[in-house]
Amino acid sequence: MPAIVISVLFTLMFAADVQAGIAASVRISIEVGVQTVTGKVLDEKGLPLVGVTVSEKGARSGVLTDVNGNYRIQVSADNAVLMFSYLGYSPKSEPLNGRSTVNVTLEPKSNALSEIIVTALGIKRESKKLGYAAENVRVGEITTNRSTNFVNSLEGKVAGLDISPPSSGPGGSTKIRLRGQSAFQGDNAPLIVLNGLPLSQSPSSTNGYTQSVDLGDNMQQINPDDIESMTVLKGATAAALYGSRASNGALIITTKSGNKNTGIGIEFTSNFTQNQALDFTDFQYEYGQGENNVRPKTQGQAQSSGAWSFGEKFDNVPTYQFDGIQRPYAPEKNRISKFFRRANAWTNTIAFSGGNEKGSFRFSYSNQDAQGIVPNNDYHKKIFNLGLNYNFTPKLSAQIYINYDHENNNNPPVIGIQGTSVTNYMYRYSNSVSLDVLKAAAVDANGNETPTSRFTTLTNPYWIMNKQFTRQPKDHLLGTASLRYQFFDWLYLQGRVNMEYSASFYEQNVPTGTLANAAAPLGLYNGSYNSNDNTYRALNADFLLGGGHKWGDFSFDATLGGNTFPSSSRGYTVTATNFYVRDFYTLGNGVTTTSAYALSKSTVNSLYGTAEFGYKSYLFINVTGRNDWFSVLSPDHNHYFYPSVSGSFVFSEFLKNPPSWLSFGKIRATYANVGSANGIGPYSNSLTFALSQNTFNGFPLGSINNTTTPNQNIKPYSVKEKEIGLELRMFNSRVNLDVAAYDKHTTNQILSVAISNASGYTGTIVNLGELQNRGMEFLLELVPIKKRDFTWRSAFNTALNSSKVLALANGQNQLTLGAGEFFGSIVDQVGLPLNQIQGATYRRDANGKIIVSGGKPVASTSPKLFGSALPKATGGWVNTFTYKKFTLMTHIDYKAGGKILSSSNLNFLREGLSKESLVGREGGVKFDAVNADGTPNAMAVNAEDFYANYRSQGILDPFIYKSDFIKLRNVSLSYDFSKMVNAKFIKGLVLSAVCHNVLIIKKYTPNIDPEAISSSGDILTGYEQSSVPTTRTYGFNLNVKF
Amino acid sequence: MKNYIKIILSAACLCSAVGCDKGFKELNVNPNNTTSLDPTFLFSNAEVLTYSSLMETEATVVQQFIDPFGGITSAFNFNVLNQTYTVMRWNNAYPNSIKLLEHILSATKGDATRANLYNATRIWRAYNYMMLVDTYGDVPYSQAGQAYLSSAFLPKYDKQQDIYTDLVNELTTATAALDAAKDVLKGDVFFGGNIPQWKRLGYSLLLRIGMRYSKLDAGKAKTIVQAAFAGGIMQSNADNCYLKYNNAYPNLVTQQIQQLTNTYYLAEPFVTQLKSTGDPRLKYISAMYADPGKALSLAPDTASANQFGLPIGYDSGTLPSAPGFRGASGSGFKYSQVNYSVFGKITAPQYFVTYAQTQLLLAEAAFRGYITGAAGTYYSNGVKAAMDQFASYDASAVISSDAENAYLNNPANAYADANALKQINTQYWITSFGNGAETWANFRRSGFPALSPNTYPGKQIKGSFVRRYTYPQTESSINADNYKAAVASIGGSDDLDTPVFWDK
Repeated sequence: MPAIVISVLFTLMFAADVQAGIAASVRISIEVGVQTVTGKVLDEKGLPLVGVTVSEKGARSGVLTDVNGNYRIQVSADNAVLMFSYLGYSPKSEPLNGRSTVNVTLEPKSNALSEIIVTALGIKRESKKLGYAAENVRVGEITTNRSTNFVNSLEGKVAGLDISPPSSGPGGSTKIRLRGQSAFQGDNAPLIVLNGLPLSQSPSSTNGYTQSVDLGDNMQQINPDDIESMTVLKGATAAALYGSRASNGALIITTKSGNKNTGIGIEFTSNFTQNQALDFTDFQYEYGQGENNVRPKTQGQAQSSGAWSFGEKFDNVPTYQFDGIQRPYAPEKNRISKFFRRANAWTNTIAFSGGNEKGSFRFSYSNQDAQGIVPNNDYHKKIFNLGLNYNFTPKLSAQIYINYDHENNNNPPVIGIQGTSVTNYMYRYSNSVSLDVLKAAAVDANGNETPTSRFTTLTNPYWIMNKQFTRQPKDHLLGTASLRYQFFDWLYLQGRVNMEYSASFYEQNVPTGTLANAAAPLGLYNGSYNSNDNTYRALNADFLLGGGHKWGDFSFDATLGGNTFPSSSRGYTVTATNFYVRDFYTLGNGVTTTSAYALSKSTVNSLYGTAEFGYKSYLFINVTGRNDWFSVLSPDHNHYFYPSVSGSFVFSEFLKNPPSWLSFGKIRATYANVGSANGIGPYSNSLTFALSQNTFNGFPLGSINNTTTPNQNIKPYSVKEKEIGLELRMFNSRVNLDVAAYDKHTTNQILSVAISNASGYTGTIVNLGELQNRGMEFLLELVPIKKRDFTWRSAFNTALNSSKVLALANGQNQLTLGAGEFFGSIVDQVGLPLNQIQGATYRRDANGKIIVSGGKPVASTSPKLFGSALPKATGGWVNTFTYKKFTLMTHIDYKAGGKILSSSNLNFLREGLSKESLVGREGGVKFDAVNADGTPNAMAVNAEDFYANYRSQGILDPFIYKSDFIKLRNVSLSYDFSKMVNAKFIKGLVLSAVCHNVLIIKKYTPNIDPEAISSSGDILTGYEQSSVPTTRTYGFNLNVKF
Repeated sequence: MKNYIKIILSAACLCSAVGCDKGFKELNVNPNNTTSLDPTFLFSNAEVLTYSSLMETEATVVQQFIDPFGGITSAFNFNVLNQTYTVMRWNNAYPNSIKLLEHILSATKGDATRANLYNATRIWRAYNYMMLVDTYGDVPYSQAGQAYLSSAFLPKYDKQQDIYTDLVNELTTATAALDAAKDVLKGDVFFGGNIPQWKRLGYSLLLRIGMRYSKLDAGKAKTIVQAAFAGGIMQSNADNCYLKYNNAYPNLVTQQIQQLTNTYYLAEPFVTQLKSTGDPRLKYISAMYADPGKALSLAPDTASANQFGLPIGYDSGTLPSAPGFRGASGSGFKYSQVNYSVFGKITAPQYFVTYAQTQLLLAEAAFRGYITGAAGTYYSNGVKAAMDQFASYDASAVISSDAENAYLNNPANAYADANALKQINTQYWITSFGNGAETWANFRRSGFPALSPNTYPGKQIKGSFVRRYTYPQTESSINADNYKAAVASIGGSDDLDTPVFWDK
């Protein structure tokens, strides 16, 4: 870990300097003047600004403000003009006019004409020179309205950035998509670049099959309080310098490292929130437990019919329940709010920062303890973050960032599958048994799960929560060390080493006595225990040589760089099945143990360069190129070249006499070709074999590992993107508009194409398939009111994206991405948008009438496509009102144009919970349909039988909804107490009250939140099942600066 | 300054000069996985992976077993098409046993030192394909299992008649080519590599396939049966081809029915047959439990008089209207279930080809005049062997020869030419319980036992019984052209009614 060693040395060296540098005020000029001027510089909130450069106009040097924002400067004359400048703020000039005290307030530069943007590879550039869309995120908004996974706070904030957090508990992952989804399969998340370290988001969410708990992602390790800036590079061109990792755009995050010449400062942030399950169920409370209109007459019947509410009308007559006790036959209402707890979350961050004239540092420690709404789920996170800047000499500087994160995720809820999911149970169990009874009688006399229904797979939550443990401690270390040498004003060389190391452990038991368990042989105890140890290590070393020069009206900037990115992972999984000693979950106690060892190593090497040509201050052309070499590809064709070109034309500067309302105007255009090797794993190009761990009566069993036939000739897929954009700032930047239109074309997709399983394999990997994403992004910022005490800012963004599958594998029209656990599947179909929900529909006759057999609808012979699960439009509207020290922020966001298949609603209907299931309770359901011979249906079918038929026939029609919504996402109210506290000791104090998921203004899904999805992956997009309810969060946020 | 640039440029070029992909080829080899494996190990697994059907499939069609609950499990219990159950044989054969068998064939073909492995693999492959043809009709054969070997991603379907012809040929030549003097057959889970037993298995399978033709082409059946008989078929239960399960590898079929005991019952026709004839096997197959939901922890009541199969033609809601409804019991119904201490144990063996089946086929062959010999003797041998088999389920499940003789002396069971086909094939039905593919195929071929059609309303078949399973829906979407050709070839309709070629 070279990065660590360097950092320690660095810290030691640096600490000494900082001590020496805690002078109250630092002067960097020689006092030559005749007159002294003093004053204070404040920011827009009235807080002192530290380190502002104050100089006399025309002088070569100036002074800096001290920790209280005070300055003292000698000027040459009493009519001199003072210049105030500070990074991120608009400069200000102030004529003295004889004054000896000048206090000023600086305005932040967010509306400035050309802000500085951190672009790919950490190159900082003026936004006016950029030929592509790059949007800075307002970090303040995400630190006020927090979520455990900070990315969730970005939902609806950035045009084209589609965030959909699975409803999976506090330790969960997030789905992040920029400008749609560029590949049919695989990882479609943007690249995350943290202080120059390219990270995969690596979501470990449920997939509805092998994994049923959401184990989070790499975004969890970032503390939003540590973020200094965050830039969203939306398109391929913006991210083109990341070559084969740029196919989905990038989020560039820089963390804080303190400011120079500031002395020591302490900042403390405390956040307390409470989460409350949102219950959208609108159930019937007329009929209780039972089947076929009969209530349970014995304990056995109660144990058999527990999943059904097709009994009799409630009458309070004592009726058998599964524990054998008769209780009044009456409904149990509000089960969701009774079962799920109000979950508290505490986050505290303390940060120390400081700096002298040579360097700065910031160290922070954050602790988060979050409860899940599922009563046994809790999540704990500790993040240490260190940032250092140091100038050894005026030419040689170094930067170090270290981020260490320790997470503990206990009992993340099972979602996405029915099985042991507690939500699934709460959403299905008959409506006349109280939670108290389920809890008290969960365990039978033998210590096993008491049957509560005939379906042994429907596990009583009070059994599983008490007997099962799922633990995942995780450590994650990120380190970046960079050295930069400025040879000349116009030439620098930077070398950087990034390192990522993570170690995670996962263990889970399936408790003995769970009804769903497979039977154990006589004398042994059923159940299993599974543990998994995983380590991942990646190194990312690069160099960058950059320079530029200006000749008259022409300017030229260029960089040249190279990168090597080796990564490796190791994983060891051991599973013990059945036990000798009861309730003792260890590997040694297992009757049968199987283990698996997984190993993976790969490297990508790259060389790249950029060249930028500028003419005057209004025309800029930028060309980039990158060549990547891949170890996972066959040596014959293992390297690919990724170019981009972009241009920007600042017409407001070109025009001799721009109209007075036009503050700034720019058009831009780009083209880029990037790629991705996602989907090509190490070693995937050969057939391999395995031997079973346990012999079959002494015979080792051999098998072929591959279920997909290998392909030697696979290559990375390619994304070509064109984009044009317009930026306008009008009326003194009070009306700002940014519009972008793009066309993104993905070819040579790496497809695991389904082949006939009669071939022995279920798929093969091919480079086929074309996909197009076209869209527009609008960003409109307004400042309708700007008065002394009252400001109203309004920012509206929206993005439209439409995808179209242009081609799939030869001769194939359709690609299956994933299938619902019991019905429906998600497919891509040529000629249609991505992620179509497909499944059986009603069989109809020539006249379109539904055909029934025995009074029950019959599934169509061929499946129907019900539409795309992806929204066509996403966006949000943020309004900020500032009145004196109050700031009120409201945030509305929406998604529109997608479909959702609700498996929960199928269960609500077929098990008799929803109001729709009341139809036909008495006398049966006589469905408006015809028989196969064309005669009208005359048969009335028992309601339970009729609705169950939807499940056995897999007919989707009644369970397809629009997934559109409009939500009042956030409301926050802040008050700045800074002026009211002792300014000597406390420099700032802001208290905010926040509420997240305030209200759903519009939705189309009965009984559920359309955002109650279970996976951050793409293969089950649009398939809803058994995720935990979404939550409303409210709480307080306190920020104190010392 | 110039020096700096030189250093930097040479550093950049160093990478490209020596190649930016140095060592990549070695890096991309997984040290943890082998790229070659002795096919012996694959052979063991191909035997173990051979699919035995779930009770809800064929055993339900032939009315031995029943799940009266509707909804998602509506399938053969109500003559309703439910893909979950029709695709199982296909999905368990091709990507599992067939894949491995094809790989072994390609690895051993033409290798004189692996001749016995090659030929045993051909025999077992023939067994697997016989079940596929019997279930679906035309199926992928000549191009199947070869996505890796010959890039046949979308295999064509071969005509079922042609496949059968080739299987007869394969069984004949492969069995004849087996030679104890050649290579030792390692990795054989069934017979420990005993070549004479493999020969008997090969000829017993040839006998079985020959008898399949009896309904279609008696002449052809006779020729094949005679060849098989002359080659030497199974001699005793010691020659039985079966998998002996253990704690690490439990019987997936019985493990599955142990999961939801209160939903699974023995069907009335099966229990009545055993009960009415005084069959000593009844108590090992059938049991009454005080609460079907707790069957695993309760003592089985195996008294013959207390056994009642659940009537066919009702669901859990309409069952109370069945004549003589016996009522609910605990979380289930008061009807007989599989005896979980013997037949339903999770270590219960899975039989593929048995001496008992072979003797019963010979009895029919003798009755039909295909071979010489006394049909009655073959019949008695078959029944006795079938009863002796039970000791392999549990050491206590021994049926004495006195009991066997008493059963055979019962006029209801004693062989009589007048009733020969009914008796022989009813016995075949009983002894093949647990091997769904075989009970169903033999029922379709022989028409025995003479079961009454399931009258549950809303059936999705035109005839009285399911005669074929539909192809997986994945085939119609992925392998569409070949699928369509196959549907045309079998008669134009991919349904549960179209009979397979030998079932005309």
